[in-house]
This record gives sequence, structure tokens and C-alpha cells, in this order.
Amino acid sequence: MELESIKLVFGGPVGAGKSTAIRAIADAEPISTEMPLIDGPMGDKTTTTVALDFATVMLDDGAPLFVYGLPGQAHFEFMYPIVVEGALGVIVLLNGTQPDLAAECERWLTGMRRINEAILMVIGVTQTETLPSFSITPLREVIKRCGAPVPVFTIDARSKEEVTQLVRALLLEM
Amino acid sequence: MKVDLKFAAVSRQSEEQLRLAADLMAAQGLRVVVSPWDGTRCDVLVVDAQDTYGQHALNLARRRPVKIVALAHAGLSADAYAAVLAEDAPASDWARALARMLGAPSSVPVVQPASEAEAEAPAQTPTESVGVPTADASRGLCRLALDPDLRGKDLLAQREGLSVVLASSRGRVVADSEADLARLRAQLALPGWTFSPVAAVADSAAGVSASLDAFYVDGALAARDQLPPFPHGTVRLSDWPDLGGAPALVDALKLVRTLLRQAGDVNELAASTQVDGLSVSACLWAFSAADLLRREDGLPQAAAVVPPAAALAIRTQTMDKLARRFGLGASST
Repeated sequence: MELESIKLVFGGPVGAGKSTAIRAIADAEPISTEMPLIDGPMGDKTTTTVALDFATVMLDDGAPLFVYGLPGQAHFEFMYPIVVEGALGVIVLLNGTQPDLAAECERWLTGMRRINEAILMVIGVTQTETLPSFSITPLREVIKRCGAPVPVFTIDARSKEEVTQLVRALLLEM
Repeated sequence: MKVDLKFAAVSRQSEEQLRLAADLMAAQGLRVVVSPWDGTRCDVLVVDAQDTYGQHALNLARRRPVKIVALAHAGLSADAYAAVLAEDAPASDWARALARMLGAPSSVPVVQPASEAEAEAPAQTPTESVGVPTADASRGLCRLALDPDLRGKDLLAQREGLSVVLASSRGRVVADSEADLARLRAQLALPGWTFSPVAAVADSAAGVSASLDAFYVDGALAARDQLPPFPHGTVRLSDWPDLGGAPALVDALKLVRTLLRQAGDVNELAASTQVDGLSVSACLWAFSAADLLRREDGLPQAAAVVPPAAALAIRTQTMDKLARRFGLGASST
């Protein structure tokens, strides 16, 4: 069975690094729908995605892999089933500095599985390099509680190599 | 079989490689005891024949039935010695040369089934199962993997004036700097570590934090030639290791995928993943130190995890293209 179009989705809350990660692996500058944050900057983050990110990664015969980034705001959740349908899987990015990280992880795992029970996922946790207090253990516990094993990696969303490692883990899950 | 090997006038580097070679040979049932030459009888003498002290040792050894291995120098006649090796020869070359000389089979170290309780015991004769020789139990990574008082615990790890916190409860390694992290990662397979328990991992703002799993796997793979064969038999992984920060470790990813779905020993895993045995063994040392391995010896084989029906891998040209594009080579899916 050949896939009609090859689609990969990045999901996760606002500020997790989805746009950054997509930019890191895309062959060209992604189409982005960024607008300045109404309430002012959140640390280094000065804009937010108001629709979705879109980019392509060319495979070696010229066929494109379409990469979509789901907007993190709750009022865009209606979009998720439409975008996720037919995707290879979802890379969920989470911000390691977020206080309710485990709860956010569980929300995304259950939310994606509600759309498609069999959806493949990997989790990337960003911004952990300068956070000695970060612990991956609560996320592993959430994953066990939520069902099938899911890879969870700490990554730098700016790093093409590390974002690629997430994609590899997803491909190996197939 | 015990072999008494003495060395004279060799560099510290060569001495270290000799000791590592002795550890490798233990897996083949040869107990090689390495010590400085002291004029007494021995089975094998490793010598720098161009050094005055080395020549003295050589002259004495030639009066006895001693196999002599010389360090290579320009003009040295190889015919006069049982073997000649370069000063910077790695441990594996030493092991092969010694095995040839002593008539033992020379092969890539193969895991011998052993119980954890044998890890501290001296090497056994070839007819008995081989555990991890006492010398190997002193290597940092091996101690972390084998000692239940260290494995999976929060520890302050120190070596030669540098230290890191192995925060196993968080899956993180914390160091003062990236440079410290890199230096200590490179020394994981060496002896000379001290580990002390840490009651609580400090959340200080300074320093760097990285994946502990990647620290172990990266360090183990870099030292794969130095590590002894992984001693346990059939094992399985309990969790995905955090390998995000080590994107070069593609083989480790493939091994993880297999180990999560089915149990295996080093040889079985090497065969099914097409990853070489030394790398598989090194990864298992790392996974064990991270307390992610579970032994399956004597237990009924768990059913392999079957992916959801909708995601079952159908080997297609598309999947092959994706695998190549993202550095998995020919499709590994």
C-alpha cells in the first residue's frame, strides 16, 4: 500500500518550539503564520503561530514529505483531526520549563489518541539544557499510564540533527 | 589457563592496552595476569627492545622459554620475536596477537552467560561459564551496570579532579560545564572512579544538564573496544532511553526498537539489527547502567509488542525513501 501523500505533524502547546523544529528540518523556509504576541514577549518568544506551519522535506526521488505544525492555542483544536488524518505520526513537542509538564504530556497523548487510537507519536522535550531540575521520570510514568510505549527525548528544537532524531524514532515505531 | 605476562620499558599507553587486552582474553577463558617485569619467570614478555632496560629484560628472557613480544621500531627484525606490535596498537590487536601466540581461538568477544553474582569472581577456566573479571568490575560504566548499590541511584561521580552528578531518578547528568561532561564521558570505560550517594540533587542555576542515557550510550560506544563483553544473557528494555541529545547514535536507536519488542542476547541482537557485536555489547552496558534493562533468563519469553494494526509496517518504496532521507539507511522500519 503506497501512501498517497506523506504527511508528518508536529503538535504541542504554545512555546514548545514547533515552528523552530519544523524550520530546522525543512528544505526551505516554512510557510508560517506568525503574529506578535498581544500580551508582549514570553521570554525569547515574541511571536506566536496563529494558524499552522507548513513546510516540505524533499525525499530522494523528488517526492515531498509535507510537514505541518499544529497551532498550540486551544481555540484551534477543531483543526487537529483534519490535519492529523493520514499522517505518518505526530511529534509532540513540550516545553521542559513548563510547570505542569506531565499534565500537558498526558493531555496531548490522550488528545491525539482520541483522534486516532493507533496514531504513532514521539515526544520531544525542549529547553532542558539549562534546567538542572528537569526530570524525565514523570513523563515516563505518564506514558506508561496512557498506554503503548512512546519515545520521549530531550532535544534542542533549533538543532536539525536532534529534531531528525525524533523523526527517526517515529519511523522506527512503524 | 593462566598466563603470566610481564612488560618492560613500555609506555603507559601500551601498558593500559595490555591490561585491556587481558580483560578481553578473559572472555575466551584465558586468565592473563599483567605486571611489570621484575626479573622473575613469566610466560610472555612485552618489551621495548630499543630501551636499555628493555634490552636487559630481553637478554634474560632469551635464556628461558619465554614468548617475547616486541614493540615495533624501524629496523627491528620480526623473525626474532613471537610477535611485533606498534606502540599505539589498540587492545584488540594485543588480544589477537596474544591469542595467536598462546594457541587460543581469536574472535570478537562473545557474551558468555553469567549470573550477576559472578561479576566479582575471578575469571574461570574455559570449561566453566565466564563472569566479568574482577579487573572489569573496576571500570566506571561496568560498576554502574553491575553494582545494585550504584545502578539507578543518584550519585556524585568523580575522577581525576572532575565530577558530575548522575541524577538517575531524573534521567539527567549534571555538570559544571560542557567540557567537564565531555571529558568524563570519554573516561566512562576506565577505572579510577569514585561514586558517592547524593541525598538530593541540587537545583542550582549554574551548570549544564543533559540526558543521562545519552551520556552512558555515547561514552560506551566511544569505548566499545575497551569494554568487556556484556555478561548477562537474554535481556529486554523496559523504557525508551532518552537519545535525543545524541543524534549520531543511529545504531543505538535501531537496537532500542528491537529490544523493546523482543528480548535477546548480544549475538541475537547483533544478528537481528545488523549492528556489530561490540556496539551491541557497549549499548547493553549503557542501558544497564541507566537501569533500563531487565533480564529474561529462565523466564517465559514475553510476546513481542505488536504495533497497532493501522501502523503495521508495510515495506514500501516510500518507507525506504523516508528512512534514507532521515539517516536510517536502507529501511529499518
